[in-house]
Amino acid sequence: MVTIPTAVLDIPGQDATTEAVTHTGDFDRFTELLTRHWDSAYRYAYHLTGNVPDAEDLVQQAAEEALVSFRRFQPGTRFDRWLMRIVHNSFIDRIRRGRRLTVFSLDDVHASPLVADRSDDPEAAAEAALHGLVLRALQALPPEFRAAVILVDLQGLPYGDAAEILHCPVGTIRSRLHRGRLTLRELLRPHMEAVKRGEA
Amino acid sequence: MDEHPSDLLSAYADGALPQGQAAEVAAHLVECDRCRTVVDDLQEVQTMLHSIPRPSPDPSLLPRTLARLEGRNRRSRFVMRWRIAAAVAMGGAVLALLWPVTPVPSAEHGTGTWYFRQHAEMALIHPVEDVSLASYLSTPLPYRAVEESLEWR
Repeated sequence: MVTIPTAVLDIPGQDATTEAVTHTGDFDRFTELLTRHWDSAYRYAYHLTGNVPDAEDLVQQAAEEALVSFRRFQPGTRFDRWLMRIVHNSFIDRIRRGRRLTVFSLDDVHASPLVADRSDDPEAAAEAALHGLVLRALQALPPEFRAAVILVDLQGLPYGDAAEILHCPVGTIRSRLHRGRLTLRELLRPHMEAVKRGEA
Repeated sequence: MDEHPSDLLSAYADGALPQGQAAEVAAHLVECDRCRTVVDDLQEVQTMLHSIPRPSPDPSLLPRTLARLEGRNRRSRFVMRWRIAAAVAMGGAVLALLWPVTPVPSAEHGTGTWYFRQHAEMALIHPVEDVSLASYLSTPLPYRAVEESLEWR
């Protein structure tokens, strides 16, 4: 019988607090909120882009755009979701404008490692290789599928929040997530079969 | 559920389906090896995704970004003040330029003398018969103003 997984990642920003901003345009308030949600915004940018320089560039651009848009920030909106949406929109905008972003093909998934292994420990090296493999597989997904998988599986957000960030119905999130996971399964199948055979 | 509920399997594995739908998928999974395998694989993929370490940003990234934002915010305020000052200066300059060309109304404007002159000029330009002149003068003219002006003379 299939069990429903209960393991959930530590979910940042799920303290059910609604960060209402009473003084719109207040720079200090903005920096305070940005600081509080900086790590999760960076993680989202990193998983979207797949590398540190692009992630840093993207999250900085998103922070600047968020500052410009902060006057339109509606009280009652969750700042972390709002910021993630800006990160996502900036990412899509970069893709459309054809700016430099590392693009992975399916062939790249099993090629060079994304996560550099600096350890002499074989177990740690194997773990790093697996993480690199998973990250490359993630980068090979189409952006819409990748975003849904990152938000739900890596950021641990509920479907409704992911739909809010990606500005689409929950049904679309469900579909993108499923197709994204199926694609990942195909990309990671060699590793999964090796694990089953006890080779990995 | 006769057909394979392929699109629902991920949501089922996440526990994100409504109770009735989840029960239908669960009943299907009891009898369908293929879908059960898919769910098992999806869960394995999720386990692999969850195993990825959570990256932390470079500690200097946030201070660098805040400094950039601070600079940008200061520049915006500076530009905004300059725009307001420029708009005020421009408005003042336009008023100063227009001032000399604006006709200044005569000090007599609206007085009895002024009305008298207007009608006198009118009569000169458009000479009319006495009867017509009397008719013309009978209604629209402010007689009191004319009288005042005559008295004044």
